[in-house]
Amino acid sequence: MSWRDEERPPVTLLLDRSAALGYLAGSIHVTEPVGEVINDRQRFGITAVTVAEVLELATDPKDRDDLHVLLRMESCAVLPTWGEDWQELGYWRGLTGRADLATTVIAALEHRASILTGEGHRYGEGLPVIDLPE
Amino acid sequence: MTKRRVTVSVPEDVAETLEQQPKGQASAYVTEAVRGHRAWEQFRAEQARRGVPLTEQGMAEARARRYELRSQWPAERYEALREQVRRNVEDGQADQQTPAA
Repeated sequence: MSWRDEERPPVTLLLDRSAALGYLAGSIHVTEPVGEVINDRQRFGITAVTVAEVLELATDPKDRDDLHVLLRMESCAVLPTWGEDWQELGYWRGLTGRADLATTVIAALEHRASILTGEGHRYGEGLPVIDLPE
Repeated sequence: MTKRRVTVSVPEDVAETLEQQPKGQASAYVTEAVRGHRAWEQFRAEQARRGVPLTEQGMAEARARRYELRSQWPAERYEALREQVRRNVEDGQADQQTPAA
């Protein structure tokens, strides 16, 4: 695909580590929210740091293959974390307790997107979080 | 990006919609629609391969949840939260509390 950045649909949903792992497990509670975003002509995102975390935890070759396919989809945005954001990154790392979650918060704020998560308690109050059912 | 001119036949209502686009925008309109449809087909095919069923009801409920959250989070709220966090870290007040957004 050769879309220019300015042509790309907006990123409106972020998958954090728990959501990405839920996708690999075949959870309909992740797949349908992602599907509706794509069906709405928008994109979903996942930070590069989160991808690294998921790759570490997803040891089943099938899961890793599924993750690679997901990341290659044209509606998927693998998002960077910028060096200039180090102070905010540190802030959110302190609040969430994990660097991957901190990168997800920063990406969500940058893109004005919601965070799909099975670990909503880690984000505290006052963030745009969509909780997965327990 | 290289562009090609193609000729297609479309129903009258589609032709009218394309003709109503601003000058030079009909191609962009078609491009966006085709890419959106292609992305959706790609995702749907992958879920079919994995044996994960997608339901209209489930997606509609997911969209309702996302739109409800979006209504609570206009752009100004995102910007206000980012600005507040920036101020906190610059002032050395990273107190591990989520700021009121």
